Formats: sequence, C-alpha cells, structure tokens
Amino acid sequence: MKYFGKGKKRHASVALQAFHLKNSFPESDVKLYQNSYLNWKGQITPTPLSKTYHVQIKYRIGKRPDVTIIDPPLEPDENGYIPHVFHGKKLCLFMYKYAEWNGTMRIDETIMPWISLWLFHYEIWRATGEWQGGGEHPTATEKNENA
Amino acid sequence: MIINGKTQHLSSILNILAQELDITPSQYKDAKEKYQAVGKWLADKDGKLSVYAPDIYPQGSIRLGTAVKPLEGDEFDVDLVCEMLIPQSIDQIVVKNLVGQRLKHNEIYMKLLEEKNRCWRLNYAGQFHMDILPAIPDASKGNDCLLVPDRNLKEWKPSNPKGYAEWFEKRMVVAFEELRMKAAIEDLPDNGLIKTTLQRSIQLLKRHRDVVFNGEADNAPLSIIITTLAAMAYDNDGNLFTALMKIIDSMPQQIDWLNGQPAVWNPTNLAENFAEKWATERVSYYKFIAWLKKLREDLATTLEKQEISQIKQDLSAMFGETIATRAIMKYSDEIEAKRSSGLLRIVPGSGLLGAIGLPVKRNTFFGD
Repeated sequence: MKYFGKGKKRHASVALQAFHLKNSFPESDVKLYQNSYLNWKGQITPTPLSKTYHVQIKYRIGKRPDVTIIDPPLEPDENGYIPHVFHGKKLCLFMYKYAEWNGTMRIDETIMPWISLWLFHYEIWRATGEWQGGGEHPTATEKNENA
Repeated sequence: MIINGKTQHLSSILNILAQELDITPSQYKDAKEKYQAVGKWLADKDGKLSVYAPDIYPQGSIRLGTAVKPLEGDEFDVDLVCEMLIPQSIDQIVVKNLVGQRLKHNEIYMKLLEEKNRCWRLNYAGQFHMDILPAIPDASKGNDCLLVPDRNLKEWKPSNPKGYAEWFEKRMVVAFEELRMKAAIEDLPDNGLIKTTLQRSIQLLKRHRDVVFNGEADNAPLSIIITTLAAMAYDNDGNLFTALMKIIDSMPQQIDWLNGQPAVWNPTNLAENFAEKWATERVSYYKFIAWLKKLREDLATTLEKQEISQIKQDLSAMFGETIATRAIMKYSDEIEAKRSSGLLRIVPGSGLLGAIGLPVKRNTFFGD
C-alpha cells in the first residue's frame, strides 16, 4: 500500500481491492463505480459439511464494508434473532475500537476470512443454539460509532 | 468410498462423538483400583478361597476398549472373571457360592452385593457395577481356556476371554501401530485413550443399537455378535466414517451358514456359537440385518447433507441429542482453538477454513 503525505496512511484504492479480491476468488464478480465504490459477489463454503453461501460486499472507500448473504437467506431463531448482525442483516465482522480493520487493509485478507468464520459459527449456532465465535454486543454510543 | 473433505470432517465429528461415549480415565482408574482390591480380598490367605489361587481380570468391553455409556444413567458394566484352580467335577453352584461367601465376609462388599444368575454383582451406585463371573481352567484345552457356569448352573461352558482379547487386538494391530507412531508412546495405554477406528466403530454401532432398541432390550443384537463380526470385517482403515461404512457393509458376509442356519462362531472356540438365538428365533436374525441396513442408510443420508445443523439433526436421531450437540460444539471448539493460537487459515477460492491457505487475522464479532 502506498503512503502519502505527512506520514498519513492512504486508503487502498478500490481498483487495488478489486484486483486482490478477484485474484483470491477467481470465480467471483467485482464491479467498480467511479473509483470510490465496489460491489463484490461470490461464493463461500466454510467447511466441506457446510452450505455454499452467495455473499455480497458493498464497499465505499474508507467506510465499513457492508456484507450481506444473498442466498440462502439467513434464518433467525424463534425470537427473530440472528447473532452478530447489524440492521438489515449486515454481518458484524470486526470492531474499530480494537483497530482490527481500516481502509488500508486488503479486504480479501481480512473481511473474507471473517465472513467464512462468521458463516461457520452461524451454522454452529443453528445446530446447537449457541454462538461459539466470541464477540461483543454494542452499547448505545458504540452503535453510532460503528455505523 | 472416496476419502474427501466431507468424509474427513464427518470422521472427525464421529470421533469426538465416540469419545463422549468413553469411560473417563479417572473412572477407569477408579474401576481398576476397585477390582484389584476385590481381587486382593478374594486371594487373601486368611480367606477360604486362597487355596484355589483366585485371579481376577477384566473381560468384555472394558478389556477390549469398546465400552459405551448407557443411554440412561451413568453406570458402566465392568465384567470380571474370577478364575480359580478348581476341578471340573465340582458343581457349578458350589463354585459360585465359594465366591459369594468370601465376598459376604467383607462388610463393605456385603452392602454392595447383589446375586445374579451366574455371577455376583457389586453395585457402586452412580459409577459402575462389577459383575464377577466364577471360572475354572479348562484342563482339556490348556492355554487360557476356561470353563464357566451355563445359565442354568448345571453345566460348564467353554470360554476364553484372554484368547478373544488377543484375537481382537490382532485384528486391529496395523491401525493400532499407526496410532502409536503418531502418538509416539511406548506402552499400550492402560486407559485406552488411543483407540482405533475398529474400537470407535464398535462403540458407535453399540450406541446406535441402544437408541434403536431402546425399550426392547430383549430384541437388541448382542454386543459380542456386533464386536466379533465388526472385528472380522475390519480392514484397518484410518478414517472412522469410511471404516464404519465398510464394516457395516461387510458384517453380514462374515456370518457363517450351517445347515441353513446363521451362526457367529467364537474365533477362539469354534464349538461356541454366539448367535444361538438366531437359530431358535429366526426373527432376531432378521432384526439384526434390518438394523444394520438402517444404520447404513442413515449414514449415507448424512453424507449427502450440506449444512452443519442438518448433520447435527441426523446425528441426534442416530446417537442421541445430547451427545450429538456436544460433538458439534467440540468440533467448533477445535476451529476456535486454531483461531486463538493464530493457526486458522482459509483456502482462497472456496473460503474453506482449516490449516492451509491465508491466515485468518484477529477479529471480534459485533452487533445486536
């Protein structure tokens, strides 16, 4: 990643992100818009015993990537609950407060593995009723920060 | 059958599930201490039995490493032989009572004692019951051959638990040696933590039988028949799923047919037919075959499933809900252990989690 300016890290361009995503997931589909936005669609299978999920990532440069599962649709429990999703069934994959992700990082090296891990734990949760992947639940302020 | 990612992962889950059926190392240690104590009491030179040099040793599933937790409750069966130097001419009832009398002389054992048809049972409530079967050497055969009382306590029946155990171990010696090398251990582990796919398969077969025949124990296939046929069918396959499938497929072919009757001969005593009941009640043989067929279908169906919760449902139906849930949770624990030690990887292209590919970096799931 290129560094510009007074020691400030610059976000990786969407073109670079798209390149690496396509490289790591050759069967996937990436579309770029106006050099600031990308839309990725591809398939992830967390284990040989798991379903194959059709995943979409919408990424605006520098913002938290929006990750949704297109198919099969995520199924809530009898209380309508799905663990670790934002409003709109977007997957919550990391926390800024632990400096786990920022726009200089490669999406294929960070977000993608976390999607697979999330889907794995989603299947375990559906099988056992327990979310075994760890994680945190937000306070009201954190909800705003992480939007 | 193809060994692929699916059969590997199913094999892992079945291994974890079978381990849930095990007697724990501390339970085993406890049982061993207790039966050695019983042996000391019976052999003690102040007792009336000492002149017959009684020798107590385990037989059956505890000896073979194929014991399974019962469906209900926690108490294991610990089967013991009490071999004494007594001639064949003595009555079976007399020999049985010699053992009983000596046990009754001990206050502690007296409280735990329960008389059974052929043996004496010590009930360690909530842990196990020890069945002590009196036996005498078979002078006509020698080696480790024994004579034990028959069900009516009228005749001596031939038996050879030590010989059977040796035969059983030979059947899986290749698999066992491979495991030994992997574990790099020196001696045969006494608590049976290292188990071959034969032992695990037998545990799963017995558990499936317990679930299917729950409430009709009289019709349930005998463990000795399952164990003998499985050992005969085994080819030392190291993958538990494929080994189990092959065993199930091959077990019916190991049955012998004599005069139109199915038989399962004791490999260490070809005069003994473990499956006598199949001749007198042919329907029990048909139930056995039908049960094997069902298990095979159940396993084949599970292999076709493509989601962990569906697989868990299948395993619940086959082996029990609690144990299936625990197995899936421990399967997830293994991934989490790799994750926390920074060893978890993801294969590009598919996204498969495991030991190869791109590292999975640290993250914290979040959200409502």
